[in-house]
Amino acid sequence: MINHVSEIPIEGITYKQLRIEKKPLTPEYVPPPPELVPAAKRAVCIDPSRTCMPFGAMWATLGVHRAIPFVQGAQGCTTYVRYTFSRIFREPASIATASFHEDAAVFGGRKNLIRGVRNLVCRYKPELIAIVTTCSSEVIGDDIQSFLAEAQDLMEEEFGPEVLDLTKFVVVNTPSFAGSHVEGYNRAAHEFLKALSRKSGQPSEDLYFIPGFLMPGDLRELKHLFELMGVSYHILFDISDTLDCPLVGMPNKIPYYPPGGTRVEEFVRAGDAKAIFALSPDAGGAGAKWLSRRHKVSAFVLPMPIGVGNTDELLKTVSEVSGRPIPEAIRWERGILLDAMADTLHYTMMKRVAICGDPDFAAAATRFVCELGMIPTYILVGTKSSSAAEEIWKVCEEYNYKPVIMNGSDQFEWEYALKNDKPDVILGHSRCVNISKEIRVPLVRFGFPVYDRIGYQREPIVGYRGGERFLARIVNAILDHHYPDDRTHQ
Amino acid sequence: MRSCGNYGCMPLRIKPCGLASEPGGMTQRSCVYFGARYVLGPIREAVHLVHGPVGCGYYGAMVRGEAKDLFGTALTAGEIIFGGLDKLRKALHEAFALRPSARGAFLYATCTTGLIGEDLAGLAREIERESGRRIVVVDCPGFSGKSQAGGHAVAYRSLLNLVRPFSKAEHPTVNLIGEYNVAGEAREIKRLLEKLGVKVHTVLTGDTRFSEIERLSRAHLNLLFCGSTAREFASALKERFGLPYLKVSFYGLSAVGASLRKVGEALGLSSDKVEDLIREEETRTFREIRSWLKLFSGKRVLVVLGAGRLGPLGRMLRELGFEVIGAASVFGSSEDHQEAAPFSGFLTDDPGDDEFERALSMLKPDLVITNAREQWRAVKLGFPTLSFPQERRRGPYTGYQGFVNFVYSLVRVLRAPVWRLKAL
Repeated sequence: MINHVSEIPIEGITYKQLRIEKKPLTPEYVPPPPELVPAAKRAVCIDPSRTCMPFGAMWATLGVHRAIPFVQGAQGCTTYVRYTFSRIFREPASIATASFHEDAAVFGGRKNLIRGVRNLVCRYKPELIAIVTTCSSEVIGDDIQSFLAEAQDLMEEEFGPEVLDLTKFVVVNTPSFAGSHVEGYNRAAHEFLKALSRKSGQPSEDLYFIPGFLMPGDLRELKHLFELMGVSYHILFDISDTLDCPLVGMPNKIPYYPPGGTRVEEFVRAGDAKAIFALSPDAGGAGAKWLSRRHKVSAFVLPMPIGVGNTDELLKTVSEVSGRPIPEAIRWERGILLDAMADTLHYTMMKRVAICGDPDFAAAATRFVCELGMIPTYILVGTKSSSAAEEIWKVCEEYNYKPVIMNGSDQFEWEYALKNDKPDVILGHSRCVNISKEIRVPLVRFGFPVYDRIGYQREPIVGYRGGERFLARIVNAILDHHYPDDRTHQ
Repeated sequence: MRSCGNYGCMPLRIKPCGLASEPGGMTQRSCVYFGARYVLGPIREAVHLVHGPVGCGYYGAMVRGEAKDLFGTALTAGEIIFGGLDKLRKALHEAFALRPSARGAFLYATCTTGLIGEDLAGLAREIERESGRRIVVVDCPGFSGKSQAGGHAVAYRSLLNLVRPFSKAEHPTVNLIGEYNVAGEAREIKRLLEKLGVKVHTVLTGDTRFSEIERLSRAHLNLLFCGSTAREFASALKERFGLPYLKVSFYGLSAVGASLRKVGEALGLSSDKVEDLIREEETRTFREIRSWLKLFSGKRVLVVLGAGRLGPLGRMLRELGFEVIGAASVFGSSEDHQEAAPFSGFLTDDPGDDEFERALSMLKPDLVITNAREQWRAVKLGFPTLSFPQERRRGPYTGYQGFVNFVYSLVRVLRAPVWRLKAL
């Protein structure tokens, strides 16, 4: 039951063993009964690769300038999420809670919301409050809209009518039992645009982008591409300067707000946009589609721009919509990625790779590894998604591979498959580290969440330069692991 | 201490402990389920099953930053409406089939299952009869208390029924109660006790198994570490099994010495042996840390931490020459505050993020000690910050070796050139 890991000296005390509860492939390993392996046949869920819906809505809200998510639920719903954010980004994340206790469970969360919103407005003066519901408030059946109206009336009475101009409100309904964090982000994108966007009648040339769970480094890479293209762009839910900020010392004004984030006016002007792009079909697609239905903004739901093909598709679409050609500088970057791919083909070709991640990450990574000549074997799509499964099938048909796709399954099933059929490399998030250690296959970390390595949030994987970095990570992992004794000086 | 309750005239609003958090604050408190997982998470030889939506299972698998085995039922909307007991029954049977060596199960309730009124206790009795294994229902819906302290209490109460009468061990044996083995702290405590010839039966709950909890009563003495989580449990054991307990602390040189003497006295060990050990270890420790002490003298510290650590930490910091200008507990009890009061300039409870920032800007401490979630706020504002619970890589902070580790952690934080590079 206990894994024997080699000694790790720690500050004077030596650990003879690190105890790991996960059963490794030691002699004591008892394989599970085969009928309990497929997640679809089990009632019990083991190591899900997805988390709860409010998380996605909070992630989106933290990408807005001076915005605070107000979580209508118990304190754990924020504390666990804040802990996750602080692990991934090593940044403070300001998330307020309605502090549900027994009385709220009995009488509903009306009092909590009214008092909570007032406290938040008084103390933090946010520009936007996103009211994010949880399982408990949804099961109780809180009528958030009417509570909010009442709270606004009371604040208007107390502080005067100006108070309502200072703070905008968005309500996002996110009961965790109805979907995962991906759906939570999707709903947030929909609700933010629905609540804020207006059509003034003066169409602009602006392009809007909903990134999904891309990291700050990825967003900076996207900005770099759009700046080279010379288009006027807005990234909605832009976490690059809210969840990755410099150490500033004591700010002049407290409470501290990070400098970046999408401004509320950008959401308001989204109704006049020329086009809106969802770069993650499952996380944000609903927002783009709503904008196109309501304000007749042309919407493009594209795969995440990881790898050559997907980035090509994004840039071509942007070029067509904006009428601007793809500049030489970007072609240069593309050439460098192709060069890197050609340089390293001996390490990547025919290597078998297992992938684990959120739907958009898994689908895009599958295309990229196919482009590298790697063979996808087992693909775990953490949240059930028909669009991601279709995309993966399309890619694999194109490259003539037949991977096993575990759509919406849990990590237990995927890890069991990997134990019986070892791949050469695993692409996945930090929670895949157990299986990677157990079967001794290198793990290349990407997607959500990566918290056990430093700097991954700043290193892009999207675009051509990001693709080159991602490729280098994959190849270096293979080199380090598969050729440990290689000392050639080439 | 002045308690005005007003905002602005004190750096932190002085609040008495034990109040519920105000809605709309950015409290660092968590939910009852969090507290229950905090205590029960590391127990081995047991199936841990969360009956609730997927998120609670996802987050609960991480206890003090370490991955723990956790099953979940991942309820969906249909099961919320029509009841999830059938799924739970099936899930429990499957979990036992997947962990054949488990002697029992912990079944956690969540907000959702608490609200829809699932009869977990009835189901547990039914499956206990069918499978012959103990099933402990942990009734911890997130909203059912003011903070995680409620969860700690629920968790220890659920453990109490597992303990059975047992014949006493031959050697002097103790249990460590309320010791969570952060970064291997129990190992250092065991090392010291074993030098005195005292055996440790189990470490509740940092390093324990289901079967060891059942046989808790074979020890002669319980050593109570974290009073705020486990005092009730220790006194209940005293009542039921006549098992006495001693409040000890292994944080800081004087506290370790005093605790070892107390243990020696209670178990009737020869005082020479105890004094020899203390002298030997203290000399070695002092030799290692001596050169750093002048770095600490007069440095002003702000401490914002859970509950039980405030007092021992305050004592430890004072020993090193720090001045604790203020301390705040996140969910402290009155005992914690009484213990911490002599070491701290002012003392409050449950600070929000804004109050924390206000305190930083007004007090400008030389060092901030806070928890893992909040450390990045202080770092962002440019304050040398040490976080608790420490990562495994920083090593234990208990006992003599731990004191050295603690000193080295402080030295790294305080001497880091990065804090001096702030201005361009």
